Amino acid sequence: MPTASTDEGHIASSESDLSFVSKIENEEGSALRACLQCGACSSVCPVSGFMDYTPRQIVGMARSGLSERLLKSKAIWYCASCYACTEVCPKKIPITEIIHALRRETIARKTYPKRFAPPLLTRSFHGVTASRGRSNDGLVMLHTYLREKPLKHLGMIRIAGKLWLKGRLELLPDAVKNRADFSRLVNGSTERVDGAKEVGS
Amino acid sequence: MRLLNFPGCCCTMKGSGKAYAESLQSVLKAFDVEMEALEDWNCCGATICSSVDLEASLTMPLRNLALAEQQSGAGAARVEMMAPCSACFMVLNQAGDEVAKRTPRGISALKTLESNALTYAGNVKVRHPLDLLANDIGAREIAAKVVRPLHGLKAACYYGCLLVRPTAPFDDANRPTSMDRVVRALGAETVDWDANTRCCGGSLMATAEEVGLALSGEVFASAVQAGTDVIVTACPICEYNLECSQRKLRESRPGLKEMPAVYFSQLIGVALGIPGAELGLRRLLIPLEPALESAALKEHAHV
Ligand code: SF4
Ligand code: SF4
Repeated sequence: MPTASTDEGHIASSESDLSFVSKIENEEGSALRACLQCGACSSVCPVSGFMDYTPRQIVGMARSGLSERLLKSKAIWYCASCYACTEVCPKKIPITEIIHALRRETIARKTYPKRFAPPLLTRSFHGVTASRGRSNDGLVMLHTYLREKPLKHLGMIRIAGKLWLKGRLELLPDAVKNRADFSRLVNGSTERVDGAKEVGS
Repeated sequence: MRLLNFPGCCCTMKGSGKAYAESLQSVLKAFDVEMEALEDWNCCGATICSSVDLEASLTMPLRNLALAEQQSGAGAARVEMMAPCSACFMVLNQAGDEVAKRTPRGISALKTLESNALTYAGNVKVRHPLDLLANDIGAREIAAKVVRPLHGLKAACYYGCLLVRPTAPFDDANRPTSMDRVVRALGAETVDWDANTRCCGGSLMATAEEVGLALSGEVFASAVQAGTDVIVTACPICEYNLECSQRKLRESRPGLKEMPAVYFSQLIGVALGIPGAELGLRRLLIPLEPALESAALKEHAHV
């Protein structure tokens, strides 16, 4: 097993969770193991300079077994979902989707960094849209910022006021006609970790 | 001609991309296309919901495709539906592909739809308005309607990410030209710049501002270097972000020139002589008129 193929060194087996590799491979229908570690993905990624692990490292670490470090990383949350990496990968590895899969795992296990806005916004957005069927900027931001650091965002009020004057900020949240039917379709009968019950009602 | 429209959360008369909705409606009308909103549409989930719930990230867009078939009446073999937002456009296309390719998760999502009394036969073709204007209507027909040529205006056509990635359904992923062709048909000059498909960081601006600003900063730097008067966009998230981030960027780069970022449909509308009120021009945080006037003056001095 090519554990030492990443630059991050050998990942101790207690840290890794190989079932995750096959889970991702099932979900994405791709062989993570085909990665050449060529780094093309990292070279085109506009945010790799901000990541604690670059896209190439993320793929390398994910296929070596799911490490705690990856699930706690900020890198997977700094991804802008711009698909530049996916488009350039010579092995057609759906890197963006793999990052989304890692985020799902992180949310399910609640291992994302505390008071870190990107996963909070992701959960708020999904919660609001899955329960109302429509997004509302104000509602999503409110839920996110209340869970992060409310005071940090007081400056937003100025720009919000300006947008409101321009008719670009709707304060009344919208919704589909039958919210119960919509929720049933989206959330299904199974219990999902999506925050939909906590927000958006 | 009537065309089904999926407005998405931004491009409605209630959203931050209201000016996009207004200008598209006015411009398409000039070409005899009436927009008909998809009834009871829902949020497509954007690129966000797949980070929480994989199945929901398919059932959300697929419900809209199912509603589109329903609204078009039984037996419609092919339904065209417009999606003006690049993110909606990409997500709806991606979900449609899962069904077309009969992938396991596509099939499973269809089953979920069916147990919720919805069916999707796979007949919807999702169209971006840029595709419609550049390829169906075409530069020649647009040029023929121009009454106020934008001579002297240097425009940077900004495609962003999701219009051309992961697949580019109607243009070249690395060297897209559709918007450039449309804008040149208006008499403007389009600049050759290297940030036309770079991500603007819009999705990060609310949560990881320093990262988002670095990304939009690169887009501006490239536009400024190319001597641009205006950045032209085809997505409500890009437009919103490129306008809003300038104030913040100027805090660390005081010399940064103020540059309007507008919708391609607004620019077409101006050249077609459609009144600004019908194009949502007053909703811009950075007005377009000064750029148009100084371009006209420059052009005048040349002749
Ligand atoms: S571009 Fe593809 S093959 Fe190359 S390192 Fe990235 S994921 Fe691996
Ligand atoms: S999709 Fe994410 S990881 Fe890939 S290039 Fe874009 S920001 Fe980087």
